Amino acid sequence: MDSVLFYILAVVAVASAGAVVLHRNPIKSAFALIVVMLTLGIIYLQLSAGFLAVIQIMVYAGAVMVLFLFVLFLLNVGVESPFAQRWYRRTVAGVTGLLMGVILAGLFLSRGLTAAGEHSPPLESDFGTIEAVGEVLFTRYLLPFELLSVLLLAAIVGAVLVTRPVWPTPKFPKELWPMARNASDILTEGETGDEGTGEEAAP
Amino acid sequence: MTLTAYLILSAALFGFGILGMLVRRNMIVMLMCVELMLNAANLALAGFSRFIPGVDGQVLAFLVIAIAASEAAVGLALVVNVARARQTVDVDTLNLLKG
Repeated sequence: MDSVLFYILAVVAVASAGAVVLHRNPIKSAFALIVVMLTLGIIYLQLSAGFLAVIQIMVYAGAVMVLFLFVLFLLNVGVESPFAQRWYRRTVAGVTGLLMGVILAGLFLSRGLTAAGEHSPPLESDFGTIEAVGEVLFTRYLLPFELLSVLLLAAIVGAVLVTRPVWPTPKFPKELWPMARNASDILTEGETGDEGTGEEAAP
Repeated sequence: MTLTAYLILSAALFGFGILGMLVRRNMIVMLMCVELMLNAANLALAGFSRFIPGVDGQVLAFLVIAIAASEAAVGLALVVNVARARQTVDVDTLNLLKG
């Protein structure tokens, strides 16, 4: 039963991963990727990693994919006309992908690993729960965890700063971006801005 | 189920990720393929964590998920900026640095 479920999930995951790569419509690629993430979430449950399964579905299938779909809708990305035009590019890509998969599989099939993974060892009853993961996360991995919070903050600030339209392009002149202020304006006008963008507040 | 089955699935997903990264020209889809590869790595981590018992692998996968989320945010911000400047997200058109 357990292995039947795994094989079904594996087939669904691989087929959806193929759809992500091969479907020309980016929206459909995104939905296929959501399917991959949901199947991986169920596989995590099978691996008695309950906390990871919840995080996978909430953060990946929820937050990250919504962000992707949001940007796809925002930019109104159309269907991608033919893939790489030149045949050798497709060939090189196919060979590289296949080679990477085969090398990884060969590495994973090496003797030490197959011997270690023959039978699933018994687990403590709280293995993979939020308590067990949290205890390790906040003791042995406390420093990486704190660094991660700094990284997330930097990512937020970076994303906001990068997306802020600084130089108006012909298609989007400054008047169309009421929120946006030109960087040169900020530099030259100094403290005259009253739109509450925040930059002027600093003395 | 053996560890090998999970690892083979992980290798297959990673291979698809690399393939998509090389064959697609839409920047957003390329970022999605990066997410696919990170997911494959997470599956391997969770598998090792189950068969060589210890939640360390799951903690590492948790950290990878957080990093992937921030990577997606910054990457998509760059894509939006490129789309705003060039009116396209096709990587073949971005050859400014080509000699």
